[in-house]
Amino acid sequence: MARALLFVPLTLSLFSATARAQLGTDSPDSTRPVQWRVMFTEDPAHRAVVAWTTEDDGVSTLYWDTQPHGGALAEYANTMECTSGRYSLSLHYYHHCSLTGLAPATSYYFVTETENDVSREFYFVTAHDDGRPFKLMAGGDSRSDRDQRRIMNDTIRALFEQHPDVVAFAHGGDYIEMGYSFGQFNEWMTDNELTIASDGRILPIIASRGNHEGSSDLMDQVFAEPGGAGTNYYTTVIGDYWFITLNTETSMAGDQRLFLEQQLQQAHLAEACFISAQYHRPAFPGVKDPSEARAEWVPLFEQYDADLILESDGHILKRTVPIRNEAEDPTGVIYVGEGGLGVSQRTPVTDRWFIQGPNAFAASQHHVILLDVSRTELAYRAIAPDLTVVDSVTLTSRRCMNTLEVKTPAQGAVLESGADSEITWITGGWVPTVDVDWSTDDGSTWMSIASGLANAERAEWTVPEVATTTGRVRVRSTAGAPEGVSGGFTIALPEKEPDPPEMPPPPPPDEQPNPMDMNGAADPIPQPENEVTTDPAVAEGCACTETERGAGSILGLFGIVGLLFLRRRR
Amino acid sequence: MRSPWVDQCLRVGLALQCAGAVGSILVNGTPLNTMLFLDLGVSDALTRELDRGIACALLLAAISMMFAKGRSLFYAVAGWFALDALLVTYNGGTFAPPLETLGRTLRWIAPLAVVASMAGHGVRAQKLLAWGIALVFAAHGIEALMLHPRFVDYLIVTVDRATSLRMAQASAEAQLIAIGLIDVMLAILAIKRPSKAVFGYMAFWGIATALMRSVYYGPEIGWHHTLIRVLNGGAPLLLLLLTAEREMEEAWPEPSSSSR
Repeated sequence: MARALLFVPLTLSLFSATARAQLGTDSPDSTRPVQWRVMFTEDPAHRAVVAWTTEDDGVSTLYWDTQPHGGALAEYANTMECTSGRYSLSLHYYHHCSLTGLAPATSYYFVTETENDVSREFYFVTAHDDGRPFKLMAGGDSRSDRDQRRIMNDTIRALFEQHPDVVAFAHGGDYIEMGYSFGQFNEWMTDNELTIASDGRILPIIASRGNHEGSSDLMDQVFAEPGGAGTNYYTTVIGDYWFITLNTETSMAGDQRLFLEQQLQQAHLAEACFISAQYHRPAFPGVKDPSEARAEWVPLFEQYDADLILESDGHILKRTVPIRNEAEDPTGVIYVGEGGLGVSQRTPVTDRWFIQGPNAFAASQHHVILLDVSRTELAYRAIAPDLTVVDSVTLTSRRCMNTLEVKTPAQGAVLESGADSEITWITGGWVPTVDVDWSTDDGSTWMSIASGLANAERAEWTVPEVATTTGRVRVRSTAGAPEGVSGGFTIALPEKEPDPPEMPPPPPPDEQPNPMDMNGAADPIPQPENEVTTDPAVAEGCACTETERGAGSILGLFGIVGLLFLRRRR
Repeated sequence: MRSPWVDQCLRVGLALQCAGAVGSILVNGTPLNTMLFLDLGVSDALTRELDRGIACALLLAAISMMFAKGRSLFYAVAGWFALDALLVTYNGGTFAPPLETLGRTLRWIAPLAVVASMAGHGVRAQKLLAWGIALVFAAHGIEALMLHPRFVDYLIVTVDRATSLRMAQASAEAQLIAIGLIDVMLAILAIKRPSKAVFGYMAFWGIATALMRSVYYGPEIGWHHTLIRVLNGGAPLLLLLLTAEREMEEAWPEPSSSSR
């Protein structure tokens, strides 16, 4: 009896697992490449993996270039033979091409070929390696509702097309229900083609492993072993943003914990402006028990001041309060998630303290996360399939500020009007372009010298012919911040020889040449008032200084005296 | 099982297992909930109500189990835990789903052992328990040999909490292989050559690993993980006591005793 009883669960278990493993319906056709993916891991500015699927095996080649060639193979500057293999428990083949030495923020156009079957041309854009702002999309759990998954992929494509500065999509895992089912992964990869933009741009994936991938080899074959086969934890550095992908399906207390601590330390040493992590099973779940991440990783996030953590698995939309030491704390870490890319959404258990109050959010809502990352701010938005923003929060960097300090004109400097002068400043962080202004009234009002100037930390300036003892120069990022203002300086009018009496009158003020030599900015410049004088030259509108006028009068007197002397001699 | 205390102990163990299941259901839901919600489109609210109903039923079962004279209650409990074990594989999302199902065998075999005991089939009840615990050890042993990540973490964290020494993952994995081999060996011995030593070690290790959950997750979260596994140590403990009792009877036979 006991033996019979034991066979029942085992047989049924294996039967159900096998039956569910065969659910896939989409199939690649012969050696025709399909299901193109691009994966980013550690160094997305310089490395990427291009992958695709075929039904049959064959020599696979990637043709690629930084210029589009419309699929004309002979015109691509680079070709490489790729590695191929058979997906586990399937009759289909994957092809991985690992590209290294790429240039940052550059479009790479490529065509995939297996045997003689060639794809159309696609392209992807590498990440930048500087501090410029960018966007990152994220989400998880696309495993069980294929129709919804396709809707969400349409949403992702729409956002991708709307925001060309999206660098990649971070997937929090649970792509499919049964991690060892190629049929299900086959469907997922086909559906993923919906995220390709209409111009052929592919959205690179930063992949993490979910519990439904378990320890399956398929996940590594689909995503080209992100972070190493089976381990699947790694750090993606995009400019000043450190994005750590962790794996809740391997040991969390062992080597991975050490890895996490090392990465967080390095992020601090590298002066990362924001630190995020993504993993599957949540530390602060809106539905079920917390994962082991709560005990193993959360203390490290808090110790090293991580900013935003992306979780999945719970099938809800949530944003926790900032958490430190198991309590709400404005200096704490915010956890968002928990997966809504194609799985029925649960109702959050809202009596949990960390998703209560005005600083938290929880709902039953399919969503894509859009992160808008700059050096100083990280804006989180949860976006519904109809592209409405259902939740948002903006974090300010704890570690980075963009700075700008004006060095010259220095405090107390005396500038000569009409002379060429140099404005210099020093910037820190990301200040790509600046606006330069000046003031004669200690900064109460500003007049433009130049705007949208490339930040070379210096600019030539012809000092206007305006006398002031309260001059200032302001240099400001075109984005509005940061800005720097010089010390107060004086503009002195130069001493000139007196104008001859026959000198033609100057043009009226509105016809005078602009004293500024940059950008053609023509802000009104205050002109000194003319003194009332009997001097004919002055009366006719000579723009002379008092000294010049005095010198002219003396010369005139000498002339009169000379004439009288000559008449008397005669 | 001739001694009534054995039957009572088994009922207590089952009642604790049911209590653990109630805690687990209230926090994490049932695999039935997952299947109904995700695969059959039943509403979240309805599946949660169903979960609460199952939790209430199990709580009542845990209480009435101590006094129940009929078999139907035990069949119902066995049926629920068998379904639970099967649905774990159906839903997936665990390290090795079929092994997870196998590792839960004792949960539904133990109520059947009580039924067998109530029917006066003491030897059959013992065999059921022995098979149940053997399959649990076999499943966990194989998972250990596969380096189940949670087992690796249980070792690292438990040793850390006990000694403040953080074991390297490689050391934990090496120990896990040894543990896995021992578990599989004990599973075979529990069927082929049952002895006090075998059941004694199984009882010790079953209790230790159940308690390890509370150490690892903390008592607030870990208590139901521990309770639901109480028979992993309790069943071999009973078998140990029964083996000891039988050996004592063989050494000092009672004239009126009759074995079944």
